[in-house]
Amino acid sequence: MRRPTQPVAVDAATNVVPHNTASGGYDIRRKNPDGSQVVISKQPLPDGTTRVSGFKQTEDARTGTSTRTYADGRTVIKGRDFERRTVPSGLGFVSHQNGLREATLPDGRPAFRDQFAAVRDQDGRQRQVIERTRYAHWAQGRPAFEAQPVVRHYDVGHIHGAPVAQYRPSRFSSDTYRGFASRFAAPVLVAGAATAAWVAFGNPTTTYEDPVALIGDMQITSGFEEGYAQALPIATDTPYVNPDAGDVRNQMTAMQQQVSSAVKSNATLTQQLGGVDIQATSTQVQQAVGSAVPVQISEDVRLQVRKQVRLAVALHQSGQALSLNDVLAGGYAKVYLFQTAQPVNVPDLSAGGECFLNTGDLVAFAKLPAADAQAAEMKVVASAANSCRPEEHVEVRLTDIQEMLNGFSERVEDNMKRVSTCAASGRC
Amino acid sequence: MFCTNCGKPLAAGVKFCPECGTQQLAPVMAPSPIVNAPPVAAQPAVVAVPPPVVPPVATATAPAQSAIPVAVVAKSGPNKIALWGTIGALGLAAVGGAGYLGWSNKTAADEAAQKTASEDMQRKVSEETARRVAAEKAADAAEIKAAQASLDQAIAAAEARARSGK
Repeated sequence: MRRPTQPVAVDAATNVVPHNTASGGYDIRRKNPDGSQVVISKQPLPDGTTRVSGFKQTEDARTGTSTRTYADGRTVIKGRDFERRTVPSGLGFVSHQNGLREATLPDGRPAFRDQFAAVRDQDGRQRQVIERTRYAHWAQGRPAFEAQPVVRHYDVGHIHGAPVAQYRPSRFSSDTYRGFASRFAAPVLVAGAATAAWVAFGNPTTTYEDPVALIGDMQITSGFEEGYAQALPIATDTPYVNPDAGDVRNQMTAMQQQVSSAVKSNATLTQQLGGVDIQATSTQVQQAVGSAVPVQISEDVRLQVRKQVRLAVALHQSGQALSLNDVLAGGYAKVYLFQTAQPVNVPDLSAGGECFLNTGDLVAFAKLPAADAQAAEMKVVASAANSCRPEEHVEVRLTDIQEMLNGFSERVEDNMKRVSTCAASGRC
Repeated sequence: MFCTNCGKPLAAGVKFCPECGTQQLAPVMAPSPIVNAPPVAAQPAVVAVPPPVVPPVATATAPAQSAIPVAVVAKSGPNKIALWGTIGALGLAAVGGAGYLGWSNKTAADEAAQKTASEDMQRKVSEETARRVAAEKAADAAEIKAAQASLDQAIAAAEARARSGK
């Protein structure tokens, strides 16, 4: 049966809106009497599965903010000059239009915070930087506070006029780098948490002779570990619960039942909706909230990440930032893998609607961005259970791609420290 | 019955062939004597009349018509006009049958030719698609190879810079 291309009214407040893609997805949208809107989105995915997600959107004219509360507990608030994304654990990530970012813990305390600052270079010249002070990170489902706040500096770059932070590494002592330029004196054994349950390598490794190979795998596993920790809190003592998410789920269930019975009892509506499979949605919502499964990582991806680690280590040693412009101008953008540093909701170009990229997810350019582009079409290469699926094409803002480059460099720095500490013992 | 000119099958009683416009001759349209004819079995001697006129092709394709002259001959006996008329009718029937055969053979040949052309076209399209996909894959592979080479160069340059302490 042919699918409709225009919205079909189910009742005065409810519409079925087909996605403007070939995939056959659609939204069911209902306007509530209070002005809020509930949207259930069904997205057939390239791997043959279907994603069903839902959110409630409220507008606040006074503050100029638009708030989406998702069924799985996420929220996205868009203001005039900021966006705030909160993951199910309660961690919030804010990006300001002026290029500054911050993250907050579920209780509102800062996990990190950016500010503009001035630093003096070795040659005595002063330059403006973005200074990020990290107070805590999220581990094992709870905040882990740093012994001392960790301060990092970022160059202030611009992408089409929008200020953006570019991580400029603080160099270690030269001895430290020597350890990464050659093989370990003896193979280093990696067991337990490091060969994490959230990642499945095609060819699992337990001993490493090459520090870059070890850091490369750590990059992948620690990224997904962080993403899972943010999405699915493990700690049970004070779990964060988004009070609105339950309401959204209840509304979604009621709405689907109403739409299903309306469609069943109304021949005209059935005919209008054609091939739209309304009935299928109700059972899939719970699956979309979903459980974690290990992310499959191919050897190609592993090898590519190792190359990028080599580049990051060399740039770290020189104290150089890696900017998106460098990647594009260097001629290797087509193969470069970008690791999501902070959760971001992105337009889903394959299935319509949107999906989330979570910390650790790997994406690559599907098309290199045009010179005047603000965003790029990216292809998902490897992703966690509740993220955009592998092979999906999504649209990512260039400022978020730069943040991915920053995150990768910082993670390399963290993993270099880890390996420096643990390799001597022969176990990491 | 069939058109005497082009062999196209015709409805009974048609005076002109709708295909080629040829007027259809009376003998072909005169099966009425059969209706009142006595059973063929009553004149067994005449059944053998004139075998050379009826080409095997005609009997094979139009057995009903081959019976017509038999009945006519059986009734008229020594009447020469009738005999010649019968022979003429048989001749026409033979020509018509042969024409029909030729026409149907031609149609079958056309269909076969069309089918072959269609298959050729399909094969060409799929070959073209396969060539295009292969070319795209090759171009993509070349781009990836070039990008990997660029990344290797960037790594080498960055490592050289790092070693030099700049």
